[in-house]
Amino acid sequence: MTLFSLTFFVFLLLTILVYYIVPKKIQWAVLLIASYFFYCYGTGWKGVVFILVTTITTYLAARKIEKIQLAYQAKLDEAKASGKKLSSDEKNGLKNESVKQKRVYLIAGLLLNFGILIVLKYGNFVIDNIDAAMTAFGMGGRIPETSFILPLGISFYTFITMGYLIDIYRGKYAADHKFFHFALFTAYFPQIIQGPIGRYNDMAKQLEEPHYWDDFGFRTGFMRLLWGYFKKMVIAERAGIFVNEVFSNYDSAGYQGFVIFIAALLYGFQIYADFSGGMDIVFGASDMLGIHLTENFRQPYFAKSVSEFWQRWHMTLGGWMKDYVFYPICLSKRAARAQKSLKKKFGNHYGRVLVPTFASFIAFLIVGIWHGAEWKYVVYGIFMATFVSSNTLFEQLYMDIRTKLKIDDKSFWYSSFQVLRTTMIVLVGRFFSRGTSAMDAVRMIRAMFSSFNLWVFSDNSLLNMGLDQKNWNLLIVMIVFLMVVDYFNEKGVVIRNRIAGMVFPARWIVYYAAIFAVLIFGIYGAGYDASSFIYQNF
Amino acid sequence: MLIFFCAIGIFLIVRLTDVMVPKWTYTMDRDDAGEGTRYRDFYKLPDNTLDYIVVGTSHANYAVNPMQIYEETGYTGYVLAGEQQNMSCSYYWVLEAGKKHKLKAVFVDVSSLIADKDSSSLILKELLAMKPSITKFHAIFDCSPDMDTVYSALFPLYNFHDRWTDLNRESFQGVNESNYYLRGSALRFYSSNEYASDEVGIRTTEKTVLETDGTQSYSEAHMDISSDAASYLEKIIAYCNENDIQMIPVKCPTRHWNSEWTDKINAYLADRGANKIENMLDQDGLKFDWDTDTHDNGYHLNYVGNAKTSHWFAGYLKSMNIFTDHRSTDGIWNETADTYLKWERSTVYDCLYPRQKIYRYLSDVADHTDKYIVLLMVYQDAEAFYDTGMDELFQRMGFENGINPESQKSVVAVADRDGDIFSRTSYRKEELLGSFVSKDGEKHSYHIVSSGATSGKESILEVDGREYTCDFPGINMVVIDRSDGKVISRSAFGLDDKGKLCFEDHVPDGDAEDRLRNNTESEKTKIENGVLITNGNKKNLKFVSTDDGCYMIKDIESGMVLTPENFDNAERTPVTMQEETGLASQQWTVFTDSNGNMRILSLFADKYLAVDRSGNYVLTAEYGDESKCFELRSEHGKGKEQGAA
Repeated sequence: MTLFSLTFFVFLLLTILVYYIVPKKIQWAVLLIASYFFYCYGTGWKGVVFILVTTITTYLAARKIEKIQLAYQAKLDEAKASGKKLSSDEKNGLKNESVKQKRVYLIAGLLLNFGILIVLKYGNFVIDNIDAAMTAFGMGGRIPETSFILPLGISFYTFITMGYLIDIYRGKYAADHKFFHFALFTAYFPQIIQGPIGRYNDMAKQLEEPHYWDDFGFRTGFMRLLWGYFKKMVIAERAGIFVNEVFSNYDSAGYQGFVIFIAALLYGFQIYADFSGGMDIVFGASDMLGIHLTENFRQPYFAKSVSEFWQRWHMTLGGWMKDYVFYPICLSKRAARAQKSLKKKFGNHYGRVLVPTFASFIAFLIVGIWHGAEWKYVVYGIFMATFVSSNTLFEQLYMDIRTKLKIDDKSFWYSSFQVLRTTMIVLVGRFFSRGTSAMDAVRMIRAMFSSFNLWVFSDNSLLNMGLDQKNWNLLIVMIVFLMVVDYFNEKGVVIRNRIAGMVFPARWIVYYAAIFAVLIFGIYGAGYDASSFIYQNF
Repeated sequence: MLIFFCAIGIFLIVRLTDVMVPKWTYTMDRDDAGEGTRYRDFYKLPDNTLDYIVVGTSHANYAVNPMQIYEETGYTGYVLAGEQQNMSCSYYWVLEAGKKHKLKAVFVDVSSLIADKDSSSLILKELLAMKPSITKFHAIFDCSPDMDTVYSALFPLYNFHDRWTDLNRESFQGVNESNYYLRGSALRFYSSNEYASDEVGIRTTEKTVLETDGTQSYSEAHMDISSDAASYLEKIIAYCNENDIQMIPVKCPTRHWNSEWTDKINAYLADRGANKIENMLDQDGLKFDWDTDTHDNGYHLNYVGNAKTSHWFAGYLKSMNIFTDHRSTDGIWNETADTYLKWERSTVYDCLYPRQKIYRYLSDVADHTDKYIVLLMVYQDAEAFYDTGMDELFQRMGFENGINPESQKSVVAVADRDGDIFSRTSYRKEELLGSFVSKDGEKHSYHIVSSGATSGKESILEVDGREYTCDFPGINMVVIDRSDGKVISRSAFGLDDKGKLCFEDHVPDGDAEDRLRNNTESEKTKIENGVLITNGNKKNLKFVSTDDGCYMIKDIESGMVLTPENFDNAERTPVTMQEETGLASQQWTVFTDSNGNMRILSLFADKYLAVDRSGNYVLTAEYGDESKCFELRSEHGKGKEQGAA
């Protein structure tokens, strides 16, 4: 069931009702049953097998790792208790043995679950490319076609569970000894479709502890849910009409210049409204259950650099990459050795930043590939990685240039320039994430610069691509409204909290305004092929 | 407080739904049949006032006119058919009707037994029209072809929320439907003759249906009875049997049918012991010209075709001997009937035969040329539509040889009995400056410019410096009251860009009084007081006027009126004495030509009344010797009453 279907709404209401009615001790069980019901409804029994495999193997691996760690600790404690002082070699030996054993289970867990993800998500991609390479040598067509099932939210729950496993390996917290409790953490329905990629230490306690009815919390959650539906149905779906038309037909219809530029710009708002709208629905639903998820967006279009953009966009993915890719690379012994020799070669500054530059490049390459099994996502990853890593690499240089030109980087104009520049860079990247292929993206970018057709703004041609004048007007107004709300959020004003704090009649007027805005202006209903959330497919 | 706000929410959603859902108002020029109006009107009827209903597809609602049937028989009925109404919807409408009325007969058009795929949007119209009830709830799930239709029927905003871009005053204020009198029927007062009905998508036996990839999916001729439709027909039969209602399967006229289906359905009905189809495509006395009796190249009947089938239907109802004539007792239907008759006459006049309106207008002017001055010019061309009737009337105005417009030539003309009567024609632009003195002694001037098609686009009809032209291609006229020099009427008639004859006349701005119409009373009295003489013989026939310039021709002794038989409008249709109904078929337009002959045109058929060699009345298209046999004499039978020739 999609998040903005009537079925989900009914399911959510029923879950909330049962959740608050049952004894507090078994509230978690209600969530578990609801989560698996949700999962089975969305993916069928075949998909359930995969999430169960991940859940069971991760649970067992984590327990085993913890057992090994405890056994090692027990040996140390035993030696201490018996008064026998262990030499450093002995201690190191015990430690190395423990680490070696733990690593076996860690690697086994990572290989199995990431392996499943890679095979299911990237299997066809690899096979197709091998076949294409073989075709180039005249040996193509020998690999039989295969179709792999793609379980719902596999990217998300794999990252969630592998992050947990790595944390257990690092000894960050104790493993979960309750299998069903862990199963709930893995399959918790609000976050399974498109994240956020939650952390065990943030979620575990919330999932287990009792939750009492909280009027204010429910109201803010409900308001956030409405806001999510508004963003998805009024803005994202509407923008998608124009975006889909241009991206699908730019070649056959000969769209050029500003038409393509507007489509790319609109796509930026579409994907933001779609993804963050989905997040708001997810967060709102979870808030109504008294469980607060980790925020995933922080007004990304106010970012002043691509690096900052990725600290504001899909924050949990960025955080996961930082904790499990970036830092492990940067803090590894090999990196330390490399840094030493680089300092000797390139000086202190570049020697210091080259390794983080490389690490962020790898991290963002993975981010790109994570989005999908196509070359365009690889290119997308490289594109983003280049800007993020170059930002790290040349940060000092940029600072020196600003100083020389006497540019005040705190001024409104410079800040605006930075925001605009970042938006444009991200816009170019969107061609790769949205386009049908990497080559198509390049062609579209070329077509965008092939004509300075300002007349499209006055000759009504923009009105022939799916949106009439009234819909354009509405879309522009709503995007501005979205940015205004983001502005307030950026200033620390959480509007939904303000609304939740209003007197009853005023609050209900706002509720009705939001509901009717969605009912009237939402893109849904008969004749619409309701698109799933964009990130649901990742 | 919570309950109060929830109630407000529900109210707002209901109100919003009301605004967003289209009204589907009945008008005469829509593509659809105005389902909204038709079904809303049904629910307004008082309980237990219907004798019969008709359900089925749109062939039925364009074929049966319950108001005409009421005028002919006094039996009350309603057409609950709809566009592509499937048999399940027909069943539920039978249930709806049965809730409020003690029906005696249900007529089911059997088209939907041979069914194509259901149209979601059309089924949705049917469902939304039903009032909320358990019946409607069941209907939604039984009749909907897909889940989207179910959702839309339960929650109409699901389908119509995006109409916010099309909202207008009607969406918020609702519509005034007090001028819908047709009891579920839909009448179209035009024929669409772009191409012959034979050539267009008609379900002939040879037609096959191709899928988009070129493969043949099925031959329409061999389509079978839909089992789903059949099951609902059986439910209708069962319901009728339980409630002592006669169920009569019918096939309303359309080219969109073939005999193989009739045979299949008859065999099916025979198996179940039901009546066989009353096939209106195969009845004595019912003949159709698909090009002139339908409004969409043979699919659905227009007003003329409808009148024929409704007349047949009336006869069939009489033959059933189960109904009661309500004309002497019923109040509401009689009131509506009177209003319907007026509406029918004026609509036929306005929509069907504009040339009769032109004749009446010119006749009103010609009757009083002693009172009027007429100025006239041709803009672009008038020859294409100018006929002998118009010519005769212009002659009565004083133009000796009529206006006689030649193709694309300019024409200016003035009829002033106290001054000049002349007309001038040429290929050049014609310009005329003149003056006259009104009876009150004031001098007035006029300026006329005429441009034929080859001499530019200038057209001027000014009196005392004020422009009165209608700027319409054709003949533009101005009528001036000689007493004070005021322009009392400006008019134009000619062909529009689709080649259709049009007429418009206006009382000039600022004038409250329609002096031209007011002056027609004396002429009307003269006609009513006169006696119609046919071929020199008095036939005890008198003219009985209606309020709008039409006349019935009534036999003084029997009270019967002259009526074309079977509502036919073909050439040589017999015209006989029949019981008075007041319908348009019994109305005539009357005017006198320059020779004093009475020209009598059937309002319904737009043909002249004539007398054939056997002395029988017939209709003829051309005004010839057979038609030149009528004159009007005064009550005392002295002398020929003539027009102001």
